[in-house]
Amino acid sequence: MAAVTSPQAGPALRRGNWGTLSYLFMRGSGVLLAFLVIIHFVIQHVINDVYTLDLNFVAQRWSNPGWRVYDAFMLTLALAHGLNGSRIVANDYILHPAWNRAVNLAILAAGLLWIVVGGTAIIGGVRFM
Amino acid sequence: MDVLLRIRRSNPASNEAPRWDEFVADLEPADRVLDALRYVKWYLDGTLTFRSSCAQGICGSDGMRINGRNRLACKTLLRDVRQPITIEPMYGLQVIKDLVVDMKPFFGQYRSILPYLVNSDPAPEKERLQSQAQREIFDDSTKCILCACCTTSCPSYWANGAYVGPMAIVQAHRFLFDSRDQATERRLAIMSQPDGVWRCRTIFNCTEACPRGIEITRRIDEVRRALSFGMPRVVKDR
Amino acid sequence: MAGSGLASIVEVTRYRGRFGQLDWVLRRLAGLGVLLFLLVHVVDTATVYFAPPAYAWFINLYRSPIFGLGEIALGGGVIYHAMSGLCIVILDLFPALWRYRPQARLVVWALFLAGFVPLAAWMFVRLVEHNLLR
Repeated sequence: MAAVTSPQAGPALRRGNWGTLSYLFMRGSGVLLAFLVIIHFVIQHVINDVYTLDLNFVAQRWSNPGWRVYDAFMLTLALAHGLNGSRIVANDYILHPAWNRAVNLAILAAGLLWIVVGGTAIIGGVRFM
Repeated sequence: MDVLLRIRRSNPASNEAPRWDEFVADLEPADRVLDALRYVKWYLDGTLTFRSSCAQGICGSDGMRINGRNRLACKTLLRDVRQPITIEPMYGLQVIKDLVVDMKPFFGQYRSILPYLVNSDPAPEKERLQSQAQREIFDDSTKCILCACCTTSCPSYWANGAYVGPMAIVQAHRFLFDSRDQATERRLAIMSQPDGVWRCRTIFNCTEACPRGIEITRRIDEVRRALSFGMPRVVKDR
Repeated sequence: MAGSGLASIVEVTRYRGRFGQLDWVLRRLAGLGVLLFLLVHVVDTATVYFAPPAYAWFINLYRSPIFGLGEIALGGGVIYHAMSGLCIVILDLFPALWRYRPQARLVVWALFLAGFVPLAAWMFVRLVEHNLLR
């Protein structure tokens, strides 16, 4: 890092920048997700299990709009939290500026795509064919 | 007693490959690792190169990795480390020779955070006063001796040497939370850069390596909280 | 020297960090593992709308013993990542608790085991029931 040459020089103030946002978001979303995901896991794998899971089960669950809201909320938060985490890991190890930017864009694109796919399914619901 | 040492030798200026040398030194259990290094240099191999000065844990010259952890050689008792004692230079700074590393980037990062009090008020007759509570809040971060044990124990720093590092954040903390300082906004701006305080991943290696017992991760978090929620009132009320 | 991502990962295995370093490594691995699963999971659940016959195919896959074990590992990953992360959040919110930081290791592990052991036992029993006792 270059040494500061004069007390007046320095970067422009960026108080509420991405760093702050990411820091607060990971903590806030993390706490919420701890509850959402563990409850989801218990319902899907303890109270029920993968052996009773089928289209009917999902349709039954999603007949209650509350569960759809829950799932949509959990989907968005989990993807944002997880993909932001992967962005942090990528920033740690991918130092080449062009590659770093490319990976960041790929992560953002994946996030948007997955939210759209998952969200559409939640809104659309089960289609018995 | 006989002490078995395994020391990492290297000389980048020459063409020799780095290697591990083994020595047996005759010392007392209450002697320090620095005494062992001096024994080797004075009686066994004069080419062994390391930094040392005060030999009592205050100058910060002899930071090195001993049995896999960063510590000061003069503060590490021989009876507290398992043999063979493995000694190598701190990782993350260029090795100049044997246990001596290039501290220039480290001090460059120190200078970048404006490590001096900024106060343009006319000088008072005596001291600039502050309350005990105001002094207490940054007391921990005044203890830093710039030994580099923390910064070179940080995996984030290993991955990216542009990271300002734990030491720089602690030093920034020392001035940020000093009620007599007036450069708060500029200091916060420096800390909020991408390679500033946001690179910390709360790994805690720094806190565990610090020979002065500074709660580094805690101070880094205080800087992050100041960036997120504003400076605590006790600092702001001058 | 510093600035090589791969070398830094190797260095993590050489530096004898204590709980903090191990906790970070586990939290990061668990997070990445859960994320990887999540990306597949969104797709498999989305098939109920986009390609309903495919849903049965996915569920069939998840019923196999390998995936059953993977599910248990997933549960472990979620619980560990959550407990480790919550510890950090709690220290952030209640700085007065910093004096108990050395005990944080025990708390994180205790909570993890309290959650994971019963979960793993339960899921393992079900796994054996369905795959071996049929």
